[in-house]
Amino acid sequence: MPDKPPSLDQFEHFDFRELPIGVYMTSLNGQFIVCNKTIRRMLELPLEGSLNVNINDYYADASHRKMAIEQALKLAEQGRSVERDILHLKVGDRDIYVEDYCQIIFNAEGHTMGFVGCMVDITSDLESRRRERELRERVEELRFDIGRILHANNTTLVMMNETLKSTARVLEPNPFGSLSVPLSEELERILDENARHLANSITRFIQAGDDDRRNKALSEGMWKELTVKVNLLEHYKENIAVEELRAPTLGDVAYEIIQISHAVASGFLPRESIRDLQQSAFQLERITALYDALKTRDAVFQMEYTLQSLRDYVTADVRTTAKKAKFTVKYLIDQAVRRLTGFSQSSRVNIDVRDVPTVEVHVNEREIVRALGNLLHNAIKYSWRRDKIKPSWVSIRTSIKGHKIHIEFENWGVGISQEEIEQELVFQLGYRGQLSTERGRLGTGIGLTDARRVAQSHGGDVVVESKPTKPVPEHDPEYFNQPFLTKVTLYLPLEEKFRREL
Amino acid sequence: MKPRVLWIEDSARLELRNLAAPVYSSGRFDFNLAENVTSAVNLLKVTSFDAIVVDVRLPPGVDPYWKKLYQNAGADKVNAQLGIKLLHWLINKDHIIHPDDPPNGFSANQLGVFTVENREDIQDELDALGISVFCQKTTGLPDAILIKIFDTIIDHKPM
Repeated sequence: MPDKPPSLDQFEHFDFRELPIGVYMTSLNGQFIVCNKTIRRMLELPLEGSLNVNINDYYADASHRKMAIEQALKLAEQGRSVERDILHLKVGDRDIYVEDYCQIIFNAEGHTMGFVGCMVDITSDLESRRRERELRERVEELRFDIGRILHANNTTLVMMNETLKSTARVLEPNPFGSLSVPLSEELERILDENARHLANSITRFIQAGDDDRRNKALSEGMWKELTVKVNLLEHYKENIAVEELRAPTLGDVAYEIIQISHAVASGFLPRESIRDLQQSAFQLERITALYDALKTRDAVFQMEYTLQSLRDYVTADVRTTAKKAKFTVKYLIDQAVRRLTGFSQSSRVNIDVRDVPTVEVHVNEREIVRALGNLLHNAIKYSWRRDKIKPSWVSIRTSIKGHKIHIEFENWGVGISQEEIEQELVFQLGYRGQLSTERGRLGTGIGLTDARRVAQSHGGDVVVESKPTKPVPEHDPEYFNQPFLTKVTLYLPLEEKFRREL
Repeated sequence: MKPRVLWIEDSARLELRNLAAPVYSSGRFDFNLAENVTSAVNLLKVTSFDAIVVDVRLPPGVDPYWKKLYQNAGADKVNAQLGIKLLHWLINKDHIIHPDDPPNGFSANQLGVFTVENREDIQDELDALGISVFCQKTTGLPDAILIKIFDTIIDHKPM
């Protein structure tokens, strides 16, 4: 490569026609005297040869040409030239936008003769800017709409929760003792008892009366159906492999028995046996309906928090008035726990908060409570029971490391793979863990992303650890079926005073 | 012998639990459930079914190829549409989807799609697969809708 710089002579003889910017000279009435290849390409003119073209013919609005000339003359009187004037031109059917830089040419007597200048095609830039503006406006509109819809949905969920609570009361006496979803052993015991009871009632009903009376009371198909149901009720665990589907199936069986009992022609079978059949079926249907209401109520709690949190996330930028202030860590944890009390009670997950030191942080309360709430919500949602008697629990532990307070949420349940942690997939907006949707857990994939964003905006962060509790190799299909011990830690810098004291 | 049927659906245990109940309580079917693509494939390799109903938005399970397809779609069930990919693999033996050979002996008339998607949104896929049994999940479906879908597939009748 030659290291000699180009000479001034080369500049003086440079062919401006090769410049990668449009260069032109026109007469006062707009007739091109000369223009380079860039302009010729822009206006779809022959690249070589003389020109008999007027710039006026390219103005999308001819009146703009007059205004542009007046503007140029005015600027010339002030000793200035036109800079970055945007012209809207039309080439065939195509709209183009150019940025024009031009200077008036005067003759020796000071009369205007024409214009010399440069043009840059900014059509695509302008188009991008226009699209960006439209998109920004659309996002604003959507954010408003989403916020409003989520608010309306939250209200609907509150209504559903109240209705389900009333439904549960109507279905009393409640054999589960509370409005929490019962533990599986408790449910199984109650279903066993009532399924057996109904099977016995059906058997007694089938045996009541002689063949003639029985055939007059119900069709042959219905008697056959009752026999099938006895078998299903007596062996429902073997017949219904999926544990979660046992209660709704038994409820469905009970409903069908009630329908059959209504079809019994009167006067052929003892009333007591019909009443016994109906009462046993009502009892099983009532219990399964109650369980159904409690399960749905639990899902409503889960979704209610998720929607609230999503709404807060979507509208976070709008709340510019919220300022940071000093809060004790205990207060912030208590606020998050309070928000999740309904959900934890409904899911029968205890929250164990351990020894929170009396330190303060300087934070935006709403944001931090939401971030802590998101982590607690996940910990509850993904908990499994540790043994058959006690309900599951989530531990919240705190510790001071360096000048930061670490708030750790630990649960025992659905795992997160190392791959998802190492590649930070769990922090991607909308990402839901490979195992997070197992067992019908609802969610949006925003909680961890939001918590980390909030922590980072306060000078902290969120870290995730998840370890299997059994020595099963990762390629084994059972690997993810085992419980994992998952710790999610949010840390924040301590308030200045507490940092100084350390 | 009862017809053996399979529902490939990840929400069957919770949100859609009441749709599965009538299939069991009818006592008419040998009813099986798979909640992700890997579990479904494992079941299809060892068992033959008279009717299979597939959801469109399925999680991948533990198989690395299905997982990769899922992750390539942003780990999003809506974008990944693994149910459709599973059907293409089963019917068209599309090795671009999965390098393994699919289990043999599948035809479109054994299969139905039960999903939240609008029919119009996936009609091209259904046509390409030759599947005619389709039902959209909406509120207000009859309790026995799943039985109706299985019956439609088994009896080769239109929905």
